[in-house]
Amino acid sequence: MSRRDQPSLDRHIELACDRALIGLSPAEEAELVSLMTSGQQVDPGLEVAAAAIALAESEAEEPLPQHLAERVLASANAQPAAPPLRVVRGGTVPMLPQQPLLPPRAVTPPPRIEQPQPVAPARPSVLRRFAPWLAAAACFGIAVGSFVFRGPRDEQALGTGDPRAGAADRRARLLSEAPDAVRVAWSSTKDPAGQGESGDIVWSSARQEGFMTFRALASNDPSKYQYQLWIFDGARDERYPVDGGVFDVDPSKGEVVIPITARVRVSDPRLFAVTIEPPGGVVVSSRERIVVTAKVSG
Amino acid sequence: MSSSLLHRVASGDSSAVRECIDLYGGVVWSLARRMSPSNAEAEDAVQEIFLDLWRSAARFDPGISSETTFVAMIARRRLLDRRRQSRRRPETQSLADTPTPVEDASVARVEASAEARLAAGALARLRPEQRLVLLLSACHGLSHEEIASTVNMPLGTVKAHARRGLLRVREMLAGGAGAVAEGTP
Repeated sequence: MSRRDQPSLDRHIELACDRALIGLSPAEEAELVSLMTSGQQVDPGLEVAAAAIALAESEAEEPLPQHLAERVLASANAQPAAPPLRVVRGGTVPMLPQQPLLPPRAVTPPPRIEQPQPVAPARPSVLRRFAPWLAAAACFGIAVGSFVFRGPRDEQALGTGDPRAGAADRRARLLSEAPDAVRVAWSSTKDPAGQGESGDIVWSSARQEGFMTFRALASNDPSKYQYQLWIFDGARDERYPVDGGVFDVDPSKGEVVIPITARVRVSDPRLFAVTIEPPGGVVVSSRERIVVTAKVSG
Repeated sequence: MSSSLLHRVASGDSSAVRECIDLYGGVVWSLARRMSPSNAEAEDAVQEIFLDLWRSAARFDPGISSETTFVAMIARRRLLDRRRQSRRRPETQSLADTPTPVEDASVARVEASAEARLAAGALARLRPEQRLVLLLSACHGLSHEEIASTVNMPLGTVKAHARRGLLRVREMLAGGAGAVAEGTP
């Protein structure tokens, strides 16, 4: 470690400690990522220490109120056939507590994403890391890499009274204002739902904001199935992609721009994939139906 | 049994969900009460925390922490996010309502979690002002600015106490984990 590197290291430690103790703003999170070498992860021991301190200092535990325990249990056991809650037409279904979390049927097993080889150097190949997903998509004739971008038209409001206007504008603003924003075209698989899709996905890790644009994704009946976005983050275990939200699409009225609602921070997106899942979405996808993917190059 | 509970949740074992709520409900509720401005907010937070927990269960790694500590980590993340969001709202919470940690609580209590026991020991060795800052930060989620205002301490000192204190505790946990692994009492 050269003397010149010391300020960066100090700042890295400072941010890592703050992250564990009080959380970081998106700008600070981006700064922390920029100070890390490729493939490096924030020391999990710091967050463990912060949690342990919180536990150590706890007064005698108060039991969870019965009514609250029942509410938590009810939301976990909600029937998947129940009408999906918080459906925002033309937008997303944020993964909120009322959604079915653990359907009565067994939760689908995690996607069989192989662990990277231990000898893998920093930032292993995207193709290798996400090979199972890409291979699955390839079975359907995926054409990764084709990129056709047309500027989004006005955001489409699906259903009636959609209050979520302006997603297209916010997307455009993100593209123009966020230097780190990535824009990747969707690649269709052979799944009929994604045929001819020519939209794209835009994501900024610094702002933790992103948008999906669809032009040809098949309309879905939310009572039968919904679309779900998965984000493979290079900073996380690739076996467990980040849930980017459940959403519905009705492209009959034109282009759809849908905000991404990642429930956890995404620092280094490598691959985006949209799957078809039971209403309400799933905790982990069986990836039986991968509709479109978007691989971030580099 | 406890160590595999979250993995059972991740595999879709519905009975594990009930066990998890029974076992960790108190921990989550205590943390939520402490880091939320009201009971209503704490109740909302608890539901969000368990949502996060179900979704993160598969990521639990017993090589990194105990299950209790993992639950506390998930809870703190959600509670810190909520605090951050509430700070962005126009209305702000009065710091006068901020609970003050009992200085000796960490020393006197014995926790089931190995990490919590080690952390209590580490906290006891910190200087009182350093311990106070660390507790306000780790246990109540106060920002550095809020702590500086609450305890009337320069901001830079608060930051230094919080970070150095956390690093000390982290070092002790790492050493303690090694000792436990080797069977050393």
